[in-house]
This record gives sequence, structure tokens and C-alpha cells, in this order.
Amino acid sequence: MDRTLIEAARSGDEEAFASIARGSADRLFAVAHRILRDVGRAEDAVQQTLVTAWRQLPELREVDRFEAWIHRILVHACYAEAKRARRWSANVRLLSVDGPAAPDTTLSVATRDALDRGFRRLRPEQRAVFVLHHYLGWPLGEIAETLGVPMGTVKSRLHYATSSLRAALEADARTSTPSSRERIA
Amino acid sequence: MTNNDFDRTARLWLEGGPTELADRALDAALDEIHVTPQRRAWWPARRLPKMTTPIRFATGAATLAVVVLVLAVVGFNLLPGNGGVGAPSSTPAPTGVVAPTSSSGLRTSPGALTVTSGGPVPIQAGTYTAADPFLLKATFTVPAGWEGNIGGPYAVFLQQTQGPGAVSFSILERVYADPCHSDKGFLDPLPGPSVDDLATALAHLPGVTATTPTAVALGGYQGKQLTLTAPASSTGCTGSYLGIWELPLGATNDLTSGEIDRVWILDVGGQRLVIDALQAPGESTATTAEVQAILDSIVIGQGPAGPWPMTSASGAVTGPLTAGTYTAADPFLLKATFTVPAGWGGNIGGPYAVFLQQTQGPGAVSFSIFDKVYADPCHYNGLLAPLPGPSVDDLATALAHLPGVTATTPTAVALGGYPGKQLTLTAPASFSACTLTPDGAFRIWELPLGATNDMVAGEVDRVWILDVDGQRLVIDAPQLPGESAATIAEVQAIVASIGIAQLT
Repeated sequence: MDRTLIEAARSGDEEAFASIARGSADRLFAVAHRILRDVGRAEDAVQQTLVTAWRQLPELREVDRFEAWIHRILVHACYAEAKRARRWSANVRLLSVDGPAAPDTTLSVATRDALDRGFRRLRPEQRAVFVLHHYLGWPLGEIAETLGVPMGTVKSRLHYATSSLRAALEADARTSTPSSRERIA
Repeated sequence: MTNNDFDRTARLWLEGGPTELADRALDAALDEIHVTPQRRAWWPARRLPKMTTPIRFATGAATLAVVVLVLAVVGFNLLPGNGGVGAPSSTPAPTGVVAPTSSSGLRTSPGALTVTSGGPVPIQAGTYTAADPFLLKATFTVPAGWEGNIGGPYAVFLQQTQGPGAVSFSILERVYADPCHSDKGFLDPLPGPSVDDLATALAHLPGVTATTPTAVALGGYQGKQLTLTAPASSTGCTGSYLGIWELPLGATNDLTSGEIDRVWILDVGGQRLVIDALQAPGESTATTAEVQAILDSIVIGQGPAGPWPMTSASGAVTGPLTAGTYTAADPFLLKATFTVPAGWGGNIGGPYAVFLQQTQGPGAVSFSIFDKVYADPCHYNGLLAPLPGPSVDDLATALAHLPGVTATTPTAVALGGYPGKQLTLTAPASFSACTLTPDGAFRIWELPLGATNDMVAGEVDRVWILDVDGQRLVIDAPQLPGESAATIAEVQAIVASIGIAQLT
């Protein structure tokens, strides 16, 4: 991100912030959608993130920390959306119908389905760590620093998320693969 | 499925899905931004930092004198067997940190501030008195649209909710040597304890335009006033801001380009108080007028009160407690509930400590928030460097590896509704081979206001370190050699009764 733009926005330059927003919005939305699994709520989270970032930008002391800073705001906006929605636990959809899934051609529908269902059972905090690590590729230490939680907390959240999703995949594999008895029959 | 297989599958799955925010959503956000003012730049920099910030206790004579007085009144030393926890307060302190003012001709405020570590919270228009745990008593009147908080013993912050206006009250002595390069550290030596010492230091800061300090009175006390103006650009500076001063708990006052800081340095009965009002470039006349009205309304008094009472079903209690259940909260940064049997006393020691102790015996339980651990209790050489990190595990590991102390391996535990680690520290049976602190203590840790936890020979401390939604809390139950089974049982019952919650 252009330091000059951030510094200008921090001084109240709306145009500079608009440029930052246009350059960040898609990435923020992609992360929010992967945490929330809902286009509408992801849009709401990004909008809230941008408004909050604008309002609090003068508080950002280190311009180089902008990416981590705005992602922290985003994750908390996702938490808020999650609390507001309160429908994840009951809303078990078989497949996302919210958008294209072009790069996902190598995964079977059953695998995506299993991951989707398993993911919806995770708490927002666990989802966020999983997405930041596996989607953005952030190291655990960076996630801990960004979210302001201890490293151990990040590890436990990731561990839980991973275990849950693996269990979902393995359960799916058991139900979709004929047992030996079935094969014999 | 191998780990690599799972990682690949997860990555592919996550890569599927939408990656573009609809233009209408972005446009709506930008429209909202157009009507949303930015916050003040200095607010977060000044708020009470996390406890991980290295805390160097004030060394100046003036500040030290006040703190020592506070510690003497509150009875901060955790050393068991020192007698009662604290004498009953003859003039009970208010339980709220900022109490609505209803006397002295000031109208009653409709709201009350709290001690917050996360920065100011919205308040209604009215007159407020900010005192405990702030070391002085500041009364002021704010119009609608402001927020504020007590940042701890050394700071009170006020700022517009939707604008740049800001006023703060600070007790400080650390001034940066070069604001443009605050990474170079503080003035060495630090300014002396007087008003003139600080005024002179600020007036000669390099890279900042300062007016000559002039004699002034504000809030009922004499002092000096000067104005600092940051250069129009911070080009060439280490950071994008100019560091002016730092409070004892680590909060800082920074100026961004073009900012003007009007500073009043007052002598409040020997305690130096700094009031400053930041003015942003292009600030509206309405904001400037609101700030001036607040400044004009300020009345300063000497404080503090304490020890602070806990509450029971029968009301506020300090000192000896009747058997029953009590809640210790403001000014303590968390809410601790516990049940004590007859023969116990207790008080809130400030933002960072709650003390319970038998009135006629050695039994004790304390609740503490701290990050300063001594490097070697048996061979005094100061604090661990670096200090333990912010997590439960960081502190548990540091305590478990203290030289000269026998420690159990920290184990996962839950207490008071929160998870954490528990370990037991045992002091050696004799300190004859030790080099104790200058005041003769086998010292384990120190709280932000200077209270210490010292062990006696053969003492066993059971320590629980809890993560209360991000705030680390230490509960300590010391056991002296030869302690009776009855005392041990009473302590255990208190520990078992503990409930912890965040302040609401």
C-alpha cells in the first residue's frame, strides 16, 4: 500500500482514502466472505471496516502496519456480523450459491460440501484464524499480533478448526465410500 | 489424509468463492465516509497501554512522594503477616471512579466515567470529577458530544466523539530528547520535579516551536503555560509523528504535522500536573470554543482516596469484613467476587490489586495485574529483561524458571470461570545464601504502582494466572511455614468461591 496515500488519508484526505479503499476492498471482501460465508454479511463487514478505518486512521501510528491494522478491524467487523446474524449454527447450507467458484475445479462437490458444513460449525474466532492462515498465508505469529491475542490462542483456534474440518472430511469420506461389506454385496 | 493434503484441500476450497466487492457496496461505504469525521490522532497513543508495555516506575521525587504516600495509605505490601489489610476508611471513597458532582454549586452530571484501558467512552453533557485512581482530583464540565476516561493513576482523557477537540490531564516526567526521533529515548537527565523544570525542558525541545513559558493560574493552582507547535511536515523524522512525552505507564503524547499543543504545568500541592489541549490544523471555531469552555471550567483538587471499598449485600466495606460474599470492582480493572469467612479483611488496592487477609492470622489471597517479575529473588539484580510477554504462558514460564525458587510445572486450570495456568512457588528454607533487595526482601513481582510480592523463607505461594478475555490476572494464595490446617482450609474455600468477570 502506498505510504503517501495512507499518510494523506490519515490527515483527512478523503480522495486518498477512497483510493486506498478501492485498492483494498476486494481483498477485504474476499477475506470477509470466507469467514462469514455470506455475500451480504461480508459486504456489510467490509463497509463497516472501511468506515471504521477512516474514522480511526489518524490513530494509526505506523503506516507500515496498515495492512495488519485494517485486517484486524475487518476481523472484528466479521465478529460483530456473526453476533448480529446468529444464524450460522442453524443455517447449514449444502453449497454456497453466493458467487463463482472458478478456481475450485479440482475439489469434488462432496469435499466442498463437507468443508462448507464443517466450517459453518466453527466459531467466528476459529474461522478467522483459519482463513488468515490458509487463505492469506499469514504466519501464526503475525495472526496473533494482528488480532491481539496470544500465540497459544491462535494455535488452539487453528488446531480446533483444522481438527473439525478434517473430521468433517473424514466423515464425508466414510459415508460416500461403500463399506467393505457393501462392496462384497 | 496427510497434513499436506489437508492444507492443499483447504487452500483450494478457500480460493473458491467471490473475490470482488460490488461497486454499490463500495460506493455506499465511501458515501458514509464523506459524512464521517475522523477521530483525534493522539487518542490511542495516550490511552493506557496494555500491561505488556514496559513500566518504569516514576523516579522523580514529586511523583515518587505521592505514590509512596498512596502505598502507605493503601497498605500495598503483600508480605504476609504484616497485620491488617487496611484500616477502615474514615471517609469512604466513592465506588465510582468519576462521580457526578452534586455539591459546591456544580450541577449533577447525568453520567459517570469509568476507568478503561481501551480509551474514552461517550459521556453526557455535565460536570464530572475525575479522581481515584487518578492521583489528583479534576473537576470539569463537558458539553454534549464528548467522551472521556480515566486512563489510570496518571491520566484523564477527554475528547470530542465526532471531532478533533481534546483535553487531557497528565502526570509525567519523561520527555523525549528529540521529538522527531523519539527512538533516541528520553532526556537524560530527565527534567527535575518542579513546574519550571518541565516547562524549561519542553520549551527547549528540538524540532518543535515553543513559546516562552509564562506564569499562569488554572483550576485554582499556579503554574506555567507554553504552546508547542509541530512542524508542518514530519519528513526526515523517524516516524510520522513527534513524540513529546510519555506517562509512567507508557501512554504517550505525540504531535502530528502542524498540530498545536497548549500546555499548562501546574503545581498542585507539590504534585506536578500537566493539562494540555491539542489543536488540529483547520480546527473549527466551534471546537476551539468547546475546548476553551472545558479549560475554563477546570477545578483541581488534591487526592487521592483509598483504600477503596468492596461491596457486599450490606454496602461498601473497607478493612475488616463480616463473613459473606463481596465484589471488588472499580477501580480494580476486573470484577472479582468471593466469599470470605469471619476474621478476614480486605480492600481494593487500586486498578491493579485486590487484597484479602486474615485479620489475626497469616492467611491471604490477592488478585493482581502486573508484568514486572524480578530476575533473581535470591540474588537481587532488578527485573527480568525483557519482561515476560503478555500471555498467561509467558508469565507462567517466567515464574516457573525463576532462579532460587522451586516451582512446579505450570498446568492448565480454570478458576473463576476463566482458563489459565497454575503453579506453586516455594522459597528456600533460608535466605542466608541470598543477596536480597536493598530493603531486605526476597522479591518475586511488582505491581504497576510499586506494590511488591515478597516471600519469606519456606513460604509456598500457589499462583493462578488467568486469561480474562485478554486481561491477564494473577491470583496468589501464599502459605507460610507451619500454617494451620484451619487457615489453609479457609484460604482454599475463598479460592474455590472466586468468580471473575470483566467490568461492564
